[in-house]
Amino acid sequence: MSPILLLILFSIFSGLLICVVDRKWAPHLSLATSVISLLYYLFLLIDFEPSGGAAHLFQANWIPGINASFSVALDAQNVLLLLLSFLVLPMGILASWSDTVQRNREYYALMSWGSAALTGFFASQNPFSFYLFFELALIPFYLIVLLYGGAYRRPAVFKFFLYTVFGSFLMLAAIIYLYAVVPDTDINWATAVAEKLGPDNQLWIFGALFIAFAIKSPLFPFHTWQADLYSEGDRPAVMVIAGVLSKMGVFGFIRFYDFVPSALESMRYVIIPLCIIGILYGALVAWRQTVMTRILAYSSLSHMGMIAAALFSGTMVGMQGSLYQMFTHGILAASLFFVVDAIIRRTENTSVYGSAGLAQANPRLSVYFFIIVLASIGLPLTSGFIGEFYMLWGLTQTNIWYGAFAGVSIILGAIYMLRFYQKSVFGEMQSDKVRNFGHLILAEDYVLVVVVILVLSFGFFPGTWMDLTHQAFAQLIQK
Amino acid sequence: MNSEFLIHLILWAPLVGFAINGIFGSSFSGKTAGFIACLGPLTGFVSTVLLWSGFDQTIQINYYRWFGTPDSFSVDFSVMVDQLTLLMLFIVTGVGTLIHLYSVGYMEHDKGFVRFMSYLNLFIFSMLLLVMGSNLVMLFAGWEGVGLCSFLLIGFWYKNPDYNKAARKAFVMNRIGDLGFMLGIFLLGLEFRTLDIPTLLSSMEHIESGDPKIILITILLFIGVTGKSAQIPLFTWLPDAMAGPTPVSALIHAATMVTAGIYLVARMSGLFNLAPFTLDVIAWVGLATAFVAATIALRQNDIKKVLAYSTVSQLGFMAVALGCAAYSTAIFHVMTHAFFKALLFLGAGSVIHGLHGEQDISKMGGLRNAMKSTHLVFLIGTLAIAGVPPLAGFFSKDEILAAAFSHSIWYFVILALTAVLTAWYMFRLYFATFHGSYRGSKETEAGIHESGLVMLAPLFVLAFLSVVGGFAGMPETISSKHLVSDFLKPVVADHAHSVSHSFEYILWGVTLVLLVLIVWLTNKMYSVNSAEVFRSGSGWVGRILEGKYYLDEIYETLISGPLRSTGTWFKNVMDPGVIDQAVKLPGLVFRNAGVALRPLQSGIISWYMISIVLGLLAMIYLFLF
Repeated sequence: MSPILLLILFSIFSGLLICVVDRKWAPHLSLATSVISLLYYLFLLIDFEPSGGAAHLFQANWIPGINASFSVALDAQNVLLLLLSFLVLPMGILASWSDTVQRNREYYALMSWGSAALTGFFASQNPFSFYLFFELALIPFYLIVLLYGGAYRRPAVFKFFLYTVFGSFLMLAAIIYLYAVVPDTDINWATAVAEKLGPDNQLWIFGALFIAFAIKSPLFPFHTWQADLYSEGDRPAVMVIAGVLSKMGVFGFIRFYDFVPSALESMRYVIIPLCIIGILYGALVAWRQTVMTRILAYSSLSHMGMIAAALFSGTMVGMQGSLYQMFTHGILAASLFFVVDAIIRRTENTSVYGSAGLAQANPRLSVYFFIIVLASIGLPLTSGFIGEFYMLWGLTQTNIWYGAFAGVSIILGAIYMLRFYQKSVFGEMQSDKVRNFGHLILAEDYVLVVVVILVLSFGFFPGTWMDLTHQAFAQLIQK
Repeated sequence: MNSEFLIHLILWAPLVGFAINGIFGSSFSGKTAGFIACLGPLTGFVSTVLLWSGFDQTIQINYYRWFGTPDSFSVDFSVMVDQLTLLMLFIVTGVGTLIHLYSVGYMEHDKGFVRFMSYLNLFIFSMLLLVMGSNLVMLFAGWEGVGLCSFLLIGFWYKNPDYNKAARKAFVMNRIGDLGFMLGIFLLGLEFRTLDIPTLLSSMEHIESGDPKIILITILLFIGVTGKSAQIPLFTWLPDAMAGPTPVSALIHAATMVTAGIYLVARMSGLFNLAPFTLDVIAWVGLATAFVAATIALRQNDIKKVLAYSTVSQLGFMAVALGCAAYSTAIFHVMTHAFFKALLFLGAGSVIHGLHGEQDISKMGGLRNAMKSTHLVFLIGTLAIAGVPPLAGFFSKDEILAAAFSHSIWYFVILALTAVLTAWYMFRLYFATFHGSYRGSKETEAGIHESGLVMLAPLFVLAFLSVVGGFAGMPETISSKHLVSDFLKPVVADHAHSVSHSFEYILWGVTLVLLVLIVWLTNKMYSVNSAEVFRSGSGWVGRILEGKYYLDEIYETLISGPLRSTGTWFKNVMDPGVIDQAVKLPGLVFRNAGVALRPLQSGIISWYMISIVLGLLAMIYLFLF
């Protein structure tokens, strides 16, 4: 059996198992299965050959009538994102350990199924599987937020759901149209479609896909569901949403890249400026926020804008940076939510001012936090720098003004992240909650040490991964 | 010893020190931590001396391939040591070691002692990356690294919100410059397909002077320089950086980090020589910076602020030298400035330490009796920076003036005027601090004490260097050998003209006369018993100078304020009120449509019957006609 299919089935099966075991074992079982998945995936990576095309391919005839197949595999484009989703899931589960009373068996089962859907999504090799998992991934996280979120979760999650589903329908329509144009979904489908579609039709298709993916990422101005969901959602689930689900949209652009090449070419000069507006807009709003989760939401908006802009630059370097940054940002966004969760749980205050003096109360957490902050503002020798360097290079290569304006985010990023850090960590201790902050629990220590190791090793040794991202786009760019 | 091994030692020793103190420091005694911290730069310094003694050619070490993309660029994690690097290594590790030693005494009672020492080590490591990096990305990594350490050290006393603000300001102002630097790197890479510095410089040969692309690139790089080396318009962070403990001011904001920009231009001199326009820009920015900062220093009463503005002004001098394509002169001044400015800052630290934190010179005075050693070294520092022959500052400043003169009379006039101002504010500072009588409160007077040996020893070494350091670069009129520029010749492409001997003699004569006059005047004005003379003036010139030309206020009004309110407006109005409303619009339409159509579902059977009949009639009508 294909190991990728095995990973998907394993997550589904472990979700079922979690449902039936004694409820006190559910968190442990959930953690164990997610770590097993991660280790097995790492084992797969050892002899993965990125230049060899799709590896561990599983293909099955799914809807014979329209010749749609179900196919998943490991390839150069998805290898980092699969790694991301396997890394973030155990982090999220460990974050949830602080309160396993509220979170019952169903919670962990949903997490497992969410993981299965994400694996399937990134691994999918054609638009039909892609669409299937795109929709499937929504359901577990929708349910988790609905069942375990904060007080105002209902409107937040409702907006999120409707908005995303609206985008999905556009995507579905686009895919059906593509099928109508060339009813043959084999490996060269994209090329055939691209040849047959006129530039005008390409524009329509591109428009539909763009809205779907822009909502999912989200990109400015389709982002208004984001801050509410990030603040009201159950934070371990938000870690996965901010870290992994937010990458689905941009990943979609990569997957559909060669269906609509001429539309991409002509729309580049509209989309990149729009993304840059989003970068600056997100950064400015993040600067003025005082609620920690909202700062992170708008910071994500800004980062995702950059990732999309670099992808649309159409340059090899920019696209490589975009893919690399998707991974890095995923890790960083998830770990920032992890840190913020650790703080809010103890201080019961979501404001940045609520934890002033943390540096004295818990220096250890403050140091971890600082390293993550540095990586997210792209300090050299951290993972954040590499992606940012590549992305800005690519944008500059397209047009120096793109590079200059998008580059303003390295200034604004420093402003809002350092402000965030200083307000929430430095200063005098104000409240007793901070004074009695207490130690980190072992699970928190483990997660944060792993994150720091990741941040530094992906900053010091990005070479192999960068070659991999080069493989990911080598064929796309040649066309 | 193997020179590659020495380079490994120089680069990694401070990082190891940082790691040891950073991870295990909490369980160390202060002495152990201090010892480990000092060992880092000391190892570096000893290795530098050994390396220098056996140095014959550029050494490059490739650790591994960092990242790269075929056909675009390939960046190695690599370092190199040539003459320019070697000279910088002497400054960084030498002055760095002294400041580490001094800090052990200065910070011993601080609760964050270990943290402080480990930050210093991290700073040295970043600075070493910067001067040793053999490609622009390595250099940039060090460049950002010193920015980070500067942030950590300025905001070292993190409980104080003002200090935090100063730290953030330093980082952000630097980042503005860094954006320029980064864009410059991109354009260079796109143009030449490499970021390796020696390869880049050797591919400059077929480029014509004045190529617009090169001008753009050099201007972008220079924007980076204005951030790091505190030039107009980005210099305002440096005076605020005095929030950090005094050794920080000495190490970072005088002797090393701020010279990074000067180093960068000297390092890329082959590139800058192709852009005469950029050189003019650099010279003018340098002139403006030197002059403006010197005038502000005239009216400051905080001992550290005076020195901070003096640093900005001296960096302006260096920029002028760069602008005149006298790169080795600029580096020479970097060196002498590192000696006397570190000396002055550490001397000021000793004064502040002795007065239990007092920094206001209007509350000092007469300290020459209570702090004899500090007084002596501070005097030497003052003489050196004022350019009294034959101290270090005299030779390097003389060389810059000569270069300016050979370039343009205007450069010379402005710079000479600034040199006069320099002497004025420095002697004002000196007399106000050490002469006259003590103007502080009686209680504090009893507590005045001289600093301990661990703080004084580095001061004596620096004082010695401030006296003799200038002999490394004597003008032609005295000696035919200019040690610094001869040493740097293979790697730095100077383009400066020399001046006639008679000009030199006139310059020295005038300098001496002016200095005597300034000393006499400042002594009369500021060796006083009352603080009257330090009160703020009533004239508008005085007010502008005291207000630092209101640059911070101008930036706040024109840039940060509007940006902040834009952000607030986006957050409060644009996001919830416009974008989100637009998203909700379809929902609203459907809901209202529902409300409007609801009466149709009235539940009255007869009404449904009538509707059916009417509908049928309508359909029949449509079909038949």
